[in-house]
Amino acid sequence: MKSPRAWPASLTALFATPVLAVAGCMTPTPRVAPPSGLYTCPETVTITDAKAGAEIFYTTDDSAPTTSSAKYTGPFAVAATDKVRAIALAPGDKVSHIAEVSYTCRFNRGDFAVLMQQRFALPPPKRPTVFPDVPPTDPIYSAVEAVAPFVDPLVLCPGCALNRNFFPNEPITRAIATIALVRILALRGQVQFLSVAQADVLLANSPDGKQLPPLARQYFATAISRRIIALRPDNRIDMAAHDTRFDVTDVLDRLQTELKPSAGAPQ
Amino acid sequence: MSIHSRRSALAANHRSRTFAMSFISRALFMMALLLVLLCGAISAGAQTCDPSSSCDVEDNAGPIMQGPTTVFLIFWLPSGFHFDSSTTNGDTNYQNLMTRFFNDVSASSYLNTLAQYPGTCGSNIPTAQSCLGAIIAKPLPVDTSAYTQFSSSSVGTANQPLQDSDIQSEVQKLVTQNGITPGINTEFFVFTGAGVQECISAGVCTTDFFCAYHSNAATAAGNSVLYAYMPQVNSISGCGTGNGHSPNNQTAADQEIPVMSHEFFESMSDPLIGGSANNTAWISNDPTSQSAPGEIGDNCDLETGSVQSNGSNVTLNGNPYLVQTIWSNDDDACVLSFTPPIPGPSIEYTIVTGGDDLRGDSSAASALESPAGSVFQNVTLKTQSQAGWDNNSTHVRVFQLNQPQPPPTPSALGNVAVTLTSHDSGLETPDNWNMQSLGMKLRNPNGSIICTSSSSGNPLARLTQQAPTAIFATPPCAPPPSPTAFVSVTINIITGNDNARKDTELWATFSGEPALCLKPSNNADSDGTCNNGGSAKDQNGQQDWGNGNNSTQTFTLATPEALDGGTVSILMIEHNSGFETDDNWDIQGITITGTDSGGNSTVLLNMSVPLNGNNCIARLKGAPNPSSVTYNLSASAPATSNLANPTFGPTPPGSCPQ
Repeated sequence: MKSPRAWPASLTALFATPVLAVAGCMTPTPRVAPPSGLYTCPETVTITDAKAGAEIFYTTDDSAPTTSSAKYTGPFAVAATDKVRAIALAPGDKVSHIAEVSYTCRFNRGDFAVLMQQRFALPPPKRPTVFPDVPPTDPIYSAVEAVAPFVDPLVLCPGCALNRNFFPNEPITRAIATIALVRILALRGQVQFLSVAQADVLLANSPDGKQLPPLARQYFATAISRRIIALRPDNRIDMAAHDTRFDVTDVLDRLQTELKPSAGAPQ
Repeated sequence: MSIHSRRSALAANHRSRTFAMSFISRALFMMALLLVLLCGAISAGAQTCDPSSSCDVEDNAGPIMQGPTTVFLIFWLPSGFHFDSSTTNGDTNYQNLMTRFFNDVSASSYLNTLAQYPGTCGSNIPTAQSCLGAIIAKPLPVDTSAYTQFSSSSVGTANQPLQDSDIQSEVQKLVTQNGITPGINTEFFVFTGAGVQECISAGVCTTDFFCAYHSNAATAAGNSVLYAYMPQVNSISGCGTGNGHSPNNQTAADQEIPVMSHEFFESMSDPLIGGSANNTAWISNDPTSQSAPGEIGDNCDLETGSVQSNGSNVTLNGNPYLVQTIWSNDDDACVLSFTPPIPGPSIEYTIVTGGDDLRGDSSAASALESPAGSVFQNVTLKTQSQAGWDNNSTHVRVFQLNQPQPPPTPSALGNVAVTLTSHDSGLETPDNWNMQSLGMKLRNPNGSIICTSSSSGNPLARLTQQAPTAIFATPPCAPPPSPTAFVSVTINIITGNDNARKDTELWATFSGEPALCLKPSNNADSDGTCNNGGSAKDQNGQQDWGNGNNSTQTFTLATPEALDGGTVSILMIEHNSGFETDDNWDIQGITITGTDSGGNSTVLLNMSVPLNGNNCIARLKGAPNPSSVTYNLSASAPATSNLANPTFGPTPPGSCPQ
């Protein structure tokens, strides 16, 4: 005897969902603004409905929204890389399709300095430092001043006269974040630099890696060997790529468990 | 050096000293802290190096720029762009000030800072200038070609910046156009207009990274092409000195010079940076050092030190300039001068401190012994007032080496002693100092290395109050004799197929010497070099140097000069009557012989081409055309001496259009 055919799980779930109230027309899909993209967070999100009287429900944790989800009452902020998903339900109508927007928070050099200062409790330099674009009264000045010695652009450009600005509002690049992390960890005794010869071997197939100055090759090869960064699928380091907060915190979280500070290492 | 051991550099307060934190000392500490807060130096955003860490640059054995050095200035300024639009002649004034700086920096105490960063720099040296010869500035005609000439996508904006390859192409274009032979003694400074953006690599741009850079490329023939890219820094936020001084009342140009001086000094001491690791000269080696891989300009990025009321911090050849300070190993600081120069053989110390630092209030000295054990020279490695040497930091010092007395020379160097002197305050225990390694290099006056010595251990030596001196044996080294000094020169010049007229005046100028009169003019007053006048003649009784003329004259030098490694410039000065066209003069050959006080002669220059139609080795014309030519003097290669300023085409030797 044939057993009754089971309904697909998705349909089961669908019927179990309160939004499947018996109704007439489908409510228009709500509109989430701004559109998906890279933003300087926190970014204010606004959701509007196309039908008067409709209620809007949304999630920010990547789960599917239901009428049990948070009810939209006004603009709200996203402060981290988020996906906003929303539905609308007008009285007497069916629930709308899901509107979905993804936000990636731009991770600036200033944000990076604050994060590194928080994670590593970097000491201030012996002498106060002047940054034309970060005055001492700026809330992030102490973090910028502490992290600046580790953000050494000379590694990438050994013949350069460097700009005095810190550029706190510019996105942190993969290259600068990597250099800072490696330098901090090296000074804490938590990583050992690869030699130039070892670095050359490791970067032999990396089109942008093998063209770097010798010291930069040591930095990036060391970072790759310690899984601080990984080569892209095409073997590029992709130095100019903009790191996100997620990229950096993910590495820091992992390093925190992998790398135990040496005894007596300064914090 | 283990990374682990570098930890203390991060924790600057982890000193080895015992510091009794009594009430008094706390009070003193608070007072000192207050002083630092009130008076303490403030470093620039680019992180001026803390001298107690590894700020010192080290010798990596790569070449340095050889004196004399020719700087070609390339002003790349398409229509619509300006270096300085504040005045009608702003662009011209800007170009002139850049050129004047390079001419004025020659033989200055500012340039002497480079004397402590020696390297092989020629077969011999000009007297009293160490390895540094004259700096010869050669502005090339302004290039008005569009910034798109090499790549249609590179227009110099933030969205479409020029690329380093564009700068290299511009240099190569002008090298070809002007028949220049690049080399280790030649650098090209490329200037672009205000607002132009450029990237040296992906994400490394003027927009948010650098203010200028120096680099190098290679010609197809394998010659190094040294160049520096100079954006108009006054148009880039974060690239000015921050003080807005303008000693020449040309803000754009005056603010360009600190960055330009940064690049110029770095080029001189580390010209092949960016090349293979083997070519690196003077840089900070420790990969974790605060300034790594910094050169001598990086430790003092955009710092000017004390500025006078007229906005200058140095006076060069009588002219005021605002320049960047330069890192001095010997001073452990950013400086604007270094005296005296190091004209003779030198000894270079590279000392790495181990796990016990050398305190700031301690001093260290070294005694050099002859093989017989007698001390013939004492040098100070660190004064009591200089910053301490942190654990695991590297420090480099260079001193002139006084040859052991009495003669005969050459003599060998015996042991070297290093002594710690502790100057304890009442609250301190005596200082102890661990030396992890000691490297020494002895150099000839021309910078070539006589011998090296390297010792290391863990520690190599521990200096204490009970045993403050460590003695190190050195390999037998023999400082060379002093360079030959010439008291006179004999100059032979063959004129080609275009004469030097009776009314034309000819000079020869050797580096370090006043000009010599080769031929006076019959149509000018005496001028301090030539006794001109209607009946004036050269040593051979000639007024006119006709086609094919062969002139040999001997001159006594004002002071004995090494000459070898120096230059000679031949200058033509017109004194036309109102009815004459410009004079033009072809040089077919030139031979210069130096004679020392013992009567020994040495050929220093011997260049010529057989006469074949209108060819020559140099054609001098009336201004504004090139009216002078400069040759290097070399006892070891007098026939292949490079032409130092072939600013006229076509490339000599070759055809010289009449």
